[in-house]
Amino acid sequence: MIKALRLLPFHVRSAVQGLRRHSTTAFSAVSAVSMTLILMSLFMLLTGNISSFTRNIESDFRIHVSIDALQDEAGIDSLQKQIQDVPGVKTVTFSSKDEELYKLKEENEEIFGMYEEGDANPLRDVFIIETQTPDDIESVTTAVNEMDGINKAEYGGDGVSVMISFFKALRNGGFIFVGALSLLAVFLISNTIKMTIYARSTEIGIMRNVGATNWFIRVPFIIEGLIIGLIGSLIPVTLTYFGYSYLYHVLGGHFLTSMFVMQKVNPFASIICLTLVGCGMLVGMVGSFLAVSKYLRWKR
Amino acid sequence: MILLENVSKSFKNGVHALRDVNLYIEEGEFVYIIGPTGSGKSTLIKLLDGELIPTTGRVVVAGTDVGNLRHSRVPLYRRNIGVIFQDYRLLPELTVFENIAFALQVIGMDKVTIRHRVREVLELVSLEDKAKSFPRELSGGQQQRATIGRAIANQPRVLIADEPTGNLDPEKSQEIMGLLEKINLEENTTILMVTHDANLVDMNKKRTIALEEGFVVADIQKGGYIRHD
Repeated sequence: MIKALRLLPFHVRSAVQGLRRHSTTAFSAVSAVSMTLILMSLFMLLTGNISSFTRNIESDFRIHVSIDALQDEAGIDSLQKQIQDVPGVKTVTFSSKDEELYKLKEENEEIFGMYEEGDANPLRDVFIIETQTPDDIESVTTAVNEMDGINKAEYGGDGVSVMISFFKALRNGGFIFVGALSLLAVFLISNTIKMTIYARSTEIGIMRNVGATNWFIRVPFIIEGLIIGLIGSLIPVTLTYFGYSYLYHVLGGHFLTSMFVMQKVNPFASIICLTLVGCGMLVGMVGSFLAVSKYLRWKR
Repeated sequence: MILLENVSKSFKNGVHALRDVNLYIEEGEFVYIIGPTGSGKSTLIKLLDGELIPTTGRVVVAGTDVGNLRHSRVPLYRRNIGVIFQDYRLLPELTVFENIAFALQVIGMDKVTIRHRVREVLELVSLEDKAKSFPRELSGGQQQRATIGRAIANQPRVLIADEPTGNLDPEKSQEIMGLLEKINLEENTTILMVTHDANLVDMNKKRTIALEEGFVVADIQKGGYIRHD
């Protein structure tokens, strides 16, 4: 290990030398890395935002429970406790009928302006329930409806849940796609690097001839792969970061309607950039490793 | 130092390169291997170098059973032997200096010692003025001397030379012979030299082993090129 560390500067130097002396092939490998990473970045941006849209809509998704008008304060308190104990319930908030009317008036003064607070208020006191996951909504609603002292518990309806499941499918599909794309990237890049190294297979043979061990031969190539990955990720990273922050500012932070809130530039774009750099380097290293190992096996 | 026991080597295409070869070469010996093209000389060298595995029999060099080496151990074995390749096998992207230094770097020698030793070797093979040249900038003879330099740089116990004078004029060939003899005497390095050069063998008489069609047809201690009409 100590010997390996002592040799590291030598390996780095020979890697840089190898890149300089094979600059054309290195350039093609760098371009392959860049192209794949740009594609990957696009899909990550898309998937990340869809997942943000879904989360936003999900968080807007609440159960509205109207309380029987005959319940007194103590009854309401015990109901609130009862609801809190239903599995899947995150928060239960009480909102009096006057507060409800006030909210309605804020939304539409013309229609609701004629109603007055106090005894003439036709509305009922309500609980607003947030569930832990959207999947709990149905079961919680059913459970609350069966309780005494509840007039009615309802939620946004099937339309919203269909949209949520659609977005979820889209997001999961996106994740799978990004995964597949990463695999494709490894394959593509390892192939390009394989071609780069093919030109040097005699070189590898000669190294073995003069007594270089397999790892001694591999390390400079792996470092070369790492550098290729790093350089190849520069353009995608720049495009991703500045492109996304431009888009974010032009669109004002949401897509089409205010319901679709975009991911903030920080940390979202920064995380993607780091992922791209990491992927580029990792894929470059793995690609080189696979390629050299293949040629090492050819020569005894 | 070198022992071949009932060694045969045949290839998938049906060629029998070596047939039941038995050889023993002592430490410090200087031996010629002669024979026409296709007599199995190159195969013999590849067996000694670990590039090929014998079909049957055993090849033992400096205590190592070469045919039984794992793929990853082959380079470690090669650090004990120096091979002068007929096709030079210099790394094209490295200068002469770097090529020789490379053989020392791989065994983990420190920088200062390497620099010192490479200078020494360059002087020995008279290439001091070509240290910074790339192989493609050298003549055949100069490349030949560079690979000799690389082969002897880490003072191997066995030196295997495949036609080391194949591309040289008689005068240069004599010079290389002198160099090899010097290494043989001063470092007590065992040398096995494959050659075509009848004049050279006649002028510098040594133990001579003749191969033909994969058989050892002669093994003469007093030496001299064997001609048959």
